Amino acid sequence: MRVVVVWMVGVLVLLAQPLPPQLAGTINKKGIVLVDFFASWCHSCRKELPILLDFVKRHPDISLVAVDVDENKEAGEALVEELGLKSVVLYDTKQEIVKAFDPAGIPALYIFKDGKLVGSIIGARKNIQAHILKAIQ
Amino acid sequence: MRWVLFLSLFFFVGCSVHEVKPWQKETLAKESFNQGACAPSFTRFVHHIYFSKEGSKGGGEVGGGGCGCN
Repeated sequence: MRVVVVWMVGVLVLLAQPLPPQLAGTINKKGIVLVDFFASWCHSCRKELPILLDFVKRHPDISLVAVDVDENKEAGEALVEELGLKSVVLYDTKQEIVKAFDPAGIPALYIFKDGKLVGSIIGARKNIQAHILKAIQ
Repeated sequence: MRWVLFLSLFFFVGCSVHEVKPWQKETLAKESFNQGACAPSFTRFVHHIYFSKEGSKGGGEVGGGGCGCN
């Protein structure tokens, strides 16, 4: 019960804060938007990103924004090139966007529905697609 | 008295803890930060001794490179 209360307070705090301008336009649009924070040195992120890309391809109504939190942009760009993420990636080299979200770990996935946060998945999960579908229902 | 206050301020500032956030753990995620990474064959040997004496193994390293991943 306590965990749920803490999580809900966290979500409310996040919603109360103004969203970073780079993301605000994408998140506030109608529909479902997934915001995924990743880094080139995070092994779990490397595994999770292709799964998310595949998921988004199979669900055209869902859009993905991948935020690279690498301070070294070149490292991030190499991973983006490798995974074919160019169209959906946002570079956060100053780490301001991720600081605003303040996830407890990465990869961190935030699910927005019609501009509102409906769920978050922190850390790598085995069946992330099922978790996303559960959050957006 | 002023000097004492001034110096104690420096002392207490030194006590503050700056938490390393998950997205700041790039350096900690490097292979070289794993326990015994500089001498892998020796580490294997040490692990073997530990396993022989304790009857258990593992738990000596951080999973996911310290990035906070599951």
